[in-house]
Amino acid sequence: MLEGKAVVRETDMPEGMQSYVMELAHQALDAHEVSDCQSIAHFIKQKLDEAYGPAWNSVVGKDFGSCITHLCGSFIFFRVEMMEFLIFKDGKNFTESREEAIGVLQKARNCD
Amino acid sequence: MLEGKAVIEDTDMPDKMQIQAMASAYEALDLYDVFDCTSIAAHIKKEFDTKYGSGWQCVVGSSFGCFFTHSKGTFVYFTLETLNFLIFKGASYLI
Repeated sequence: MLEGKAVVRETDMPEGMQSYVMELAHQALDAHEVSDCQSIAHFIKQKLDEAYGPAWNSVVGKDFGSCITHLCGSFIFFRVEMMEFLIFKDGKNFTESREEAIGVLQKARNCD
Repeated sequence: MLEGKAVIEDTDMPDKMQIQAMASAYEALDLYDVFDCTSIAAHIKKEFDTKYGSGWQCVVGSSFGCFFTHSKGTFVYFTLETLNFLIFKGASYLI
């Protein structure tokens, strides 16, 4: 189990939801190999779809950049140990959505 | 300019849209450093929002896994040189 504390980089989520998402991340890291990003992402998305309704999207990894449109109040980008987590929900109409550019820049990479 | 050829790993997109995805990726790699995944992703997403309507999502990087729900016919995942590209339109935009 990773003992690291989650560090929120950016979010517009209510605090209760933030706590729940980070708890899910810890659960996922307990249940899966740290290298199995897809299963970790799947676990988190599935739980959030159940808890808050579809359709959530989940990106997990060490090195990625993204540009997304999300429903206001449903976006969080955080780190646990060396893993980055981007979690967001799609909006149903444009007035409720916002665009975010999220990246993890690692020029000097100390992988493996 | 990177001379590498893009390799489609998985998709349910029409062929023309796939070609546009790879063209946008090449454009972005001409404009931005290969390490600037965020700007590359932003460039591609904006291209798609402009051409095919709002609500596109784009993830670019060399190390990530994800799980998402997308609209039918709007998903492509491909590799180009050292980077992986995921482009999709969120499920909610069909409602």
